[in-house]
Amino acid sequence: MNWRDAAGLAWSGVGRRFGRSVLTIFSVALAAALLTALLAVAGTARTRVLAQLTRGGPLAGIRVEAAAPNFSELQSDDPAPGAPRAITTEAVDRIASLPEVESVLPVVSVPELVLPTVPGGASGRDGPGPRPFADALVGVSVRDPAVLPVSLVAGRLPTAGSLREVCVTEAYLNRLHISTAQADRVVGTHIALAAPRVFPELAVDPDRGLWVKPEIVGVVVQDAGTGAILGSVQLARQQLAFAQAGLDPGGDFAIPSSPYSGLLVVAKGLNQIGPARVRIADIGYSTSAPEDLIQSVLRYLHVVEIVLSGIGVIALLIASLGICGAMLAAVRERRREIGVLKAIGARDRDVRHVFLVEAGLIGFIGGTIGTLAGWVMARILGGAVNRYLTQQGLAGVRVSVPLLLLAAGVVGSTALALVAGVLPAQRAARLPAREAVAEG
Amino acid sequence: MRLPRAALVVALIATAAAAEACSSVSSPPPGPPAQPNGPAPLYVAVGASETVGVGVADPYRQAWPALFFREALPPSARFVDLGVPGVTVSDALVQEAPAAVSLHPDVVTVWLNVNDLIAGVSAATYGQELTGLLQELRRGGRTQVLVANTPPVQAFPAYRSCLPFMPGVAGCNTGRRAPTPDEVAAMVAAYNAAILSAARATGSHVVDLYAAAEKRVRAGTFAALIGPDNFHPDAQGYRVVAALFARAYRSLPSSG
Repeated sequence: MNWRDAAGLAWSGVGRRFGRSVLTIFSVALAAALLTALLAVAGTARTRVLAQLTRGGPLAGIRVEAAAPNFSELQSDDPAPGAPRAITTEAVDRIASLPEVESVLPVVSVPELVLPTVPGGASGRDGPGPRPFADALVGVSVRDPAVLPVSLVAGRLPTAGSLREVCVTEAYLNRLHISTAQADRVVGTHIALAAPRVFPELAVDPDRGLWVKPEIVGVVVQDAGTGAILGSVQLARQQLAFAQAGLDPGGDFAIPSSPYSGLLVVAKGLNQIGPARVRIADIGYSTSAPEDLIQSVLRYLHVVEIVLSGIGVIALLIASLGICGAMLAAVRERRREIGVLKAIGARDRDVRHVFLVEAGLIGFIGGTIGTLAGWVMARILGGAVNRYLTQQGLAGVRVSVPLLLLAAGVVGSTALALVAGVLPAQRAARLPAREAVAEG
Repeated sequence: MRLPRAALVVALIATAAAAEACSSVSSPPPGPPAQPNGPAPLYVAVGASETVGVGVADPYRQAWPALFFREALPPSARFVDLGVPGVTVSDALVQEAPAAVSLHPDVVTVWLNVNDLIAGVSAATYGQELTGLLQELRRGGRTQVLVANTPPVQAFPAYRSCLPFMPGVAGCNTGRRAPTPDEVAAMVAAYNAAILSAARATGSHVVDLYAAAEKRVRAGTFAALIGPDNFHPDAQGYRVVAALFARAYRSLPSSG
């Protein structure tokens, strides 16, 4: 008997005991669905928690301050920086060339007078608009958003290098008494920003501003620097150059002397953060990185994943016991058939194959249906969570089920079913032909 | 801020009218217009109290240079307002021109005439100083300069309220004879001729505030554009001024 004959007999066996087979397949599907959904949700939660910890930035991110390191610099994730120290282009190049460093992103911060616009309200043309307020523009390179500690709440990030687009943070919304849930309202409006500069030659009010009028294209939660406005590094450099060209005798505007207010450094992996921080401190700058916190959270998340996987695996084991029981019952009911098979020349291993294929078939069908159902369940759950987060004005989540997980669900269910079918198949194979025919 | 201004308008225009009688200006040919450069043009406003938006509740948004910047210039444009209340052209040459030139602007607007008129600067002197200012701001043709002429000061409520048999306002007691509307109109005309000459000599472009205001004077709607101090424009008046500058800017050969 070849494998095709064995598969044909197994399939007819499944068909003949349809009710029992459906119930067995259902139990396998249920267990596979549970395992898939749990692992998908755990994976999404892991991504979300880490994104929250890193503010959307890379896990191996290091923040470099425009300040000297203090004596206990490397004892803490977030040390107090030492005395101010300008970050020069030469320092940026030295940090970028460190072997532990993947990439370096400069951050330029500049104080600004912000002239907000109430969506649909007075823009100044028909009446006085909302009061201006002092804040800061944080300029970053938006060419590679994946390495930025920025989470988008509404709209999009400014185009790379744009002088006419910015994002705002919740602090800006608060000024206009707009809730985060209504963040979309400010997208598409224009604000005016003025970098300050003192012109000593002017006899009256020597403090003047370089005004720009960018469009708000998005609302973000950002941790790249302190400021309610996020723009391109080119826009921030333009504003900073104007401010730095003047005088700030009383230091009223707190205009930074450093060309960069900080750097966002990405290390080549979590284990490279420590060595990279040591080297950057040697170059002369203070750093911070949530590496200890991330390591701790990763350990906790791993435990959660083990527990959730354990629940799914237990469900699959119970389903396997169901397969084993159903197959043992089938062996008992099909003694006569087994006897006839042996009488016409089937060997023990042929009989074993028939029952193993039948068990594998049940596992494969149940596993496929269950894994797909688990994927659908995870998507539905993700959609519900997304709606809730959006209502709360938070960034949504994207439930992703890796193909590997889907394949593992199907293969794992089939493999467990095969293991569960070994005992019944063995028992069927060892039945003496004469005895089986006589008893059947 | 400007109620005492009404008295000044009357007192000092009288002095200026006398000086004007013995002055004259020449009219050199216009220079070639400059091309605004780069994708992020820099606009600088040079002027006096009107340029910083005196007379409106929200100068950051309602002053005419802010409106001009917001509505006429490209989205990537930058803007610095160097206006100083009360300055004359000679003050601006010392205070505002060096600051403006140091910024290397692409576009400059200039509205400086009413304070000179009030201060009694003769049209000839005014014309010479304005030519020097515009020459400096033009930076050899690299900057487009739009210069406003003088509105009909004889129609300002601050002036008219001081004329005999007109309802007076507080602070209008100068103890001197107010120049007649015809005398003031002649001064304004002499100033505007000087502005036109200075613009032609330097390749600048005149924004005709006088013609636009005169049209409204004839229609009886001019007073509605003046704020509660009877001297500075109100929000609507600044919108009209911004629109006139915008129209002049758009008519420039390469303003886009």
